[in-house]
Amino acid sequence: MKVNLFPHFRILLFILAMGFGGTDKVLADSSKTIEPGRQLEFAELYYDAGDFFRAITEFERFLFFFPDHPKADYARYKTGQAYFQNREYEKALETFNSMVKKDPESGLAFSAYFDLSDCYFMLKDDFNALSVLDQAAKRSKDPEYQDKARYRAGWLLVETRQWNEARLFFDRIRDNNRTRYRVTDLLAGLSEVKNIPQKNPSIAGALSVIPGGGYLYCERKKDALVAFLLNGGLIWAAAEAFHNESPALGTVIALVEAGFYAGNIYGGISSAHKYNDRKTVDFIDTLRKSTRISLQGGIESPSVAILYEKSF
Amino acid sequence: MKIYFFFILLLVLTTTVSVVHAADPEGGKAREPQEPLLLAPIFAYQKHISPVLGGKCPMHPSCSRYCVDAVKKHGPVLGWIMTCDRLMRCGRDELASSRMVRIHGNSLGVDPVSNNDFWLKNHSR
Repeated sequence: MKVNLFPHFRILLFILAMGFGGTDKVLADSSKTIEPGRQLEFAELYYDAGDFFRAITEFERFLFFFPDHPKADYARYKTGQAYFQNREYEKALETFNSMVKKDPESGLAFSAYFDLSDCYFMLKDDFNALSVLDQAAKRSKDPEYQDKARYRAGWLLVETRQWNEARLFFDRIRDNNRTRYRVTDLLAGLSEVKNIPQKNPSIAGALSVIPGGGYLYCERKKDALVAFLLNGGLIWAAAEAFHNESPALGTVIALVEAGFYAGNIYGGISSAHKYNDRKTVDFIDTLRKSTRISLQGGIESPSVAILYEKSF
Repeated sequence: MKIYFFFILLLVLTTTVSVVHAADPEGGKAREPQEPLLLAPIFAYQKHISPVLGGKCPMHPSCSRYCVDAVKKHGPVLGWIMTCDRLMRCGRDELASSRMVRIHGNSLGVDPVSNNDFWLKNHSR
């Protein structure tokens, strides 16, 4: 992995300049003044270096000393973003919410709506993630912003597998932005949803009556063979024990076999669900790579895709 | 006579749902509540047998840890069924589709309980 050391180097230079640049002056003066511009710059250096924990501290220091500074709202917004990057989604949510409540019509508040939606998404609150975007689109009078909100809402619905609703949101993007947002490609891609390979969990469960049948149906040949041999062996052993007039041993083996037989049925059904899930995730990934654009322009980088990676 | 004793012991271990609220003799700290007695053999395996065998499970969490998690989350019956399923899948086709993670220099397939019970509750992701 390539590590960009340049921001760290800048931080080091900054600290050295602060520490040694004016040694005589520092010794002469007992106090030192923090300039708002320098403090904000320092916080942003940490943010750009990816040290979000320290960036939060420095942005909060700025807000503590200069609460009425014209850039205070910007610092608050960056604090929220640093919390988000640091995976502290609850705190990020709190920060963005306070911004939206304070001045709902400001430019930064409209940016914060998108961040709020991302926070809700990461907290698996899909309803609020969508409702914030809808609210933002209704509140804004800027058609460009409204299209951006619709595009984000559409993708949110794709990520949550609500295909028809996603199609409706993409379709509401205005004509002059449809090429930019690749709406035609998106709608064509979404029409392929019905072609995602699927396995029926009920069939997998029914086929598991023969040990390994469900696994085999879900293309798990090795698991199927193991399930068949293990269950077959235990059934044979239990039968032999009863046949040899060892009912206690037979019962113990039968009890163990009952667990493995039930596990084979459970595994068959579970494998079908996992197969379907994996194929759907693959479909979304392909759609994302081929059609999703960065809202700054161009195809979205893989690092942004990781942000939405499904974890179950 | 011995075999009957073993049978009764196994029956007790596999059907009990009683909980242990005993204090930890080492730190005086209370043990995790609702810990089924059924897990005692698993803990014994983890403490005394697994270190001797070398802990070679190719999955993460290991099968014994998976069993503990499954029983704690779903109770002894479904937990045991899920464990049997995991034992049959361990280290074969699952590795081809699992996300891999490197732990102590070993590449292990990630397969927590949540990967195998997500479909039990109806949610989108």
